[in-house]
Amino acid sequence: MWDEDFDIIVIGSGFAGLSAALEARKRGLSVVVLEKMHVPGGNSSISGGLVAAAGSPLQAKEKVKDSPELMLADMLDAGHDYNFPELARIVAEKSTDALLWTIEELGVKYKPRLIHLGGHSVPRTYNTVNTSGSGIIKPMLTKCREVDIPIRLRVFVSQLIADESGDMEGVEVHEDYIFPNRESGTLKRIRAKRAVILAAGGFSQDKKFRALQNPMLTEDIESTNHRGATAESLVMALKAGATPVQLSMIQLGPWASRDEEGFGVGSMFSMLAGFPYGILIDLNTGTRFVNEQSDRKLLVDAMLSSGLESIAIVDQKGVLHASTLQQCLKRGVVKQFDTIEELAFANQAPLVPLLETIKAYNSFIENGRDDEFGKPIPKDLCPIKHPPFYSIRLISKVHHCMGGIQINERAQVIRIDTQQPIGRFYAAGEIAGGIHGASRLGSAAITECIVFGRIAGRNAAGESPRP
Amino acid sequence: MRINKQLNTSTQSTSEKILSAIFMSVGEGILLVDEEFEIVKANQRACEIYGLLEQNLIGADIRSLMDASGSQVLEKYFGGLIEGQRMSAEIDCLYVDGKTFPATVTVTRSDFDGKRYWPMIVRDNTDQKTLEKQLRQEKQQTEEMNLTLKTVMKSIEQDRKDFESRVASKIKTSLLPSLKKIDKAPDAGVRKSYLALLEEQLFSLSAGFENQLDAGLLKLTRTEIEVCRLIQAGCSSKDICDAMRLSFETIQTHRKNIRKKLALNGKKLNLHAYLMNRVL
Repeated sequence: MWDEDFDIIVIGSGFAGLSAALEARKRGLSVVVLEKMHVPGGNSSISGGLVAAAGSPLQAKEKVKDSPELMLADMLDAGHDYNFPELARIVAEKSTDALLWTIEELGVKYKPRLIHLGGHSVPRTYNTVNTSGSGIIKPMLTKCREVDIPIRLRVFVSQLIADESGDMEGVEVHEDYIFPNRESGTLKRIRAKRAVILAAGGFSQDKKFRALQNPMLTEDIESTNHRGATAESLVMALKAGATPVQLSMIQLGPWASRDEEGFGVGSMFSMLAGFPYGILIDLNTGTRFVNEQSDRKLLVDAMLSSGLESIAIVDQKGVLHASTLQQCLKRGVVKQFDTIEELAFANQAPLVPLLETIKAYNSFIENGRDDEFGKPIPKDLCPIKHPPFYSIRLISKVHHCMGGIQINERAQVIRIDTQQPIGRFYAAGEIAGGIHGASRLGSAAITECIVFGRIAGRNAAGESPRP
Repeated sequence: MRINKQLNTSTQSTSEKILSAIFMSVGEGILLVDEEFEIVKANQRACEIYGLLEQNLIGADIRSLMDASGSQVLEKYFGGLIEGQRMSAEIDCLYVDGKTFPATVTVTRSDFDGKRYWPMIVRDNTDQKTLEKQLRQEKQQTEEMNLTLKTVMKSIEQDRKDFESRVASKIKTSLLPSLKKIDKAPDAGVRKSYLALLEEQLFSLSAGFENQLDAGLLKLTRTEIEVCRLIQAGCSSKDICDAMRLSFETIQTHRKNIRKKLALNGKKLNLHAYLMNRVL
């Protein structure tokens, strides 16, 4: 009946899956990680590597007053209170714990300064030194290799198998799977002696499925995700009795570049420099239209509301915060100009209103208050007047699925008909829904993946072994 | 929420599409590296080899995917190659989890748009190296086996030589002198005692043989040996009478004498069983 068995089967090799695997392995159990793609790491490895933590060492160093309560409040604000508060609270409370785990257990290296991302009341975001999630995924994979956790690539899980009592007992897989061909590979059944952990990510690249949840997300809208971010694992979990929650809550990223595919290098330019230290301009009018430091949903809604084409502008001072600048310039994602006139001409923006907008914005900074849109004015925010000037052309791209399957505080998957946990079945990461509500606060995803990944790993390891 | 249409930039011609499809599906890793050692293009096999998504490979410094000596080799190639020239080397590359693996990289140079580029073909040699290692191990095992056999043969040869020289020296030092003494012995009594000595020496010579000479058997007469052979062959006394044309009583007498000479008298052991494993 079974071809092989492990104590724990983890589906997915991103932040959540690897965190879960490492926690379970730490308890001496046999663990296998199944990944359908040809490389490990999934979307996590191409993310921006931003980690939010309340009450972190850098906050202490920079004398930032923060607390899990404040982080939770920010998450609920961004999520328009659609969040399941008991789950969001766990993320906020365990955020620093998760951050320290990556530093102490995995040796992840972060930049020495905090970032103040849009939607956060205070600076609380760490960023990996390479400005990428690969800065965390690589140490995780190294650790997995050291502690003998096999990462099986090109293994597609096609079915969850429950025992007679309805508890999860194993999976049916296609080995040597060729994404996205569902017929490819060799069938095999792997048994989980203790539990199955589903950490298969979101479905931002699944154009059919996301349009089913939100018909406005038509096929021509790009995604920041890698091409494997599809919905088959979610559908499989639903077939196994999991409860779907908030599947239509799909976030678009406002910071991606029009001049490159996916998340690219432009997204981090906007996040680190364009929005916090620059201005967002409607190309038709040459004026600002939103507080650049709003959370993602507000920004996207503002950018889409009038169908406008927008750019972000920073000067020589602001661009110092953009760690991906060289790559952006090289790929033509960000363009450099000696004068605002040249910048306006190249972007076909009306010059006079643009100059006026910049002048007004600069005076807000000097007065310490944005009278127009209420952008917070931190001490290191400078007026836009030092050449050269830089611009990036923006377009919204599908970025994150807040919805997914319902889990409880122990990361157990909840059965739809009984509203009780499905035995020996856990989920974590983007596939688990409800934590971020209507819009995920930037840099809260990695934190959440690690927090709930570890919870799932620990609790799965605590299951009694099957005979 | 209204969503504006994306600017569609899919203006690729069919030939470009075909070229790109071939590039992506080739079974060897292909990377295009620019003057700053940055990877600007990578195919799917290259992603697999390094365990990195295309998004992570592109923009990465090629030197971050290999060990220090590999980087040196590459820097040398990049500095030295003229357009169209091709060089390859075996170097150690790094997988995403930090594990090193042997690879063959072939580097060429190709200039376009006023810039220099280095197309690289990367072949993961892990499987090949494993096979080579297995082959080397097997070869070594065979060689070791050969050596052992040779040693065994040598020691057998040595044993044989030792034995020969022992027999030769025994003949020279004991047997021949005894014969001479018999020849020169003045009377039958002395001769008899020398003969007994010679007999003793011959027995001792056979010590350690697989079929040691049995002193008892040597005492048997020719007729007694004949009787023994027939017993050994499983004949009854009656059969032996017929075969040797002797009376039953004579055979019984022979049997009695044989038992006496073999010192089997009074023992609960029949003659057939005793003779079974003995050479006559």
